[in-house]
Amino acid sequence: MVTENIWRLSPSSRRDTSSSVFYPRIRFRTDDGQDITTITNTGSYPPAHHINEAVTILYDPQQPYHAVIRSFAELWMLPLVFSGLGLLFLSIGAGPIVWKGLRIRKIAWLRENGRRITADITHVGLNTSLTVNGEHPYRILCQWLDPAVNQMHTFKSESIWFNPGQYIHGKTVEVLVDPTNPHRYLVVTDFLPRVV
Amino acid sequence: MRTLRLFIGLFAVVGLIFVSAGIGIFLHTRRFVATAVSVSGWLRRISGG
Repeated sequence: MVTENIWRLSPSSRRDTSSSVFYPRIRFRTDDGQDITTITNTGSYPPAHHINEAVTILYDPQQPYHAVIRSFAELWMLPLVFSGLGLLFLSIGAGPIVWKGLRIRKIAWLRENGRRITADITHVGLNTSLTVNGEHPYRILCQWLDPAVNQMHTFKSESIWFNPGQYIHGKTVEVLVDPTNPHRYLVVTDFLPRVV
Repeated sequence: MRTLRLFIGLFAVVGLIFVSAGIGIFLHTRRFVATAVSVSGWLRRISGG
């Protein structure tokens, strides 16, 4: 049974600032009659509990000083904050890695199953919508008329980090297209030198 | 590009560490709740220390 609880100002905080945090000091009697006084690990401002508010204490029977007020914040806030921050960082870090993996899979699938068509090159130039370290990549724009349905398809190559103009000798380029989804394609630039 | 990749990798590693810590604390708390003894009481007073 809890006999007394004392709100204690955090030693690292100042009373005159809004950063002051109160940690509840709890005193309770264990089942074997031992009186325990301890301070919980979770503080808050304003105090999370009112005076004379009934509270439930959880304590470790092996280590009675390891005791907490049974509340969602006291028990689960720390793992939630760590997991939330971790997921945030992980999504920022793993997002591009996953995206790159999916792209490699898409390219492999298109090389194996894609329909190979020959498109007319319409433009080779800088992609100013993308900037990395102050530089824009080049890209090849091309188009292909599907004679079966009289539909014009336009394609853009992947980013090319050098000027490919002098290495493009013809007026056409091969494109691998998903037979079921023309928006899923790969402009084949294997004829260009690789960037080291 | 190399710096960008380094930052992305760093974010992923820090994220993994935080998520691992979160899962570790969660499992520890769950084990604590499962074995802890529960007693009831009430707050009596507030003091500055």
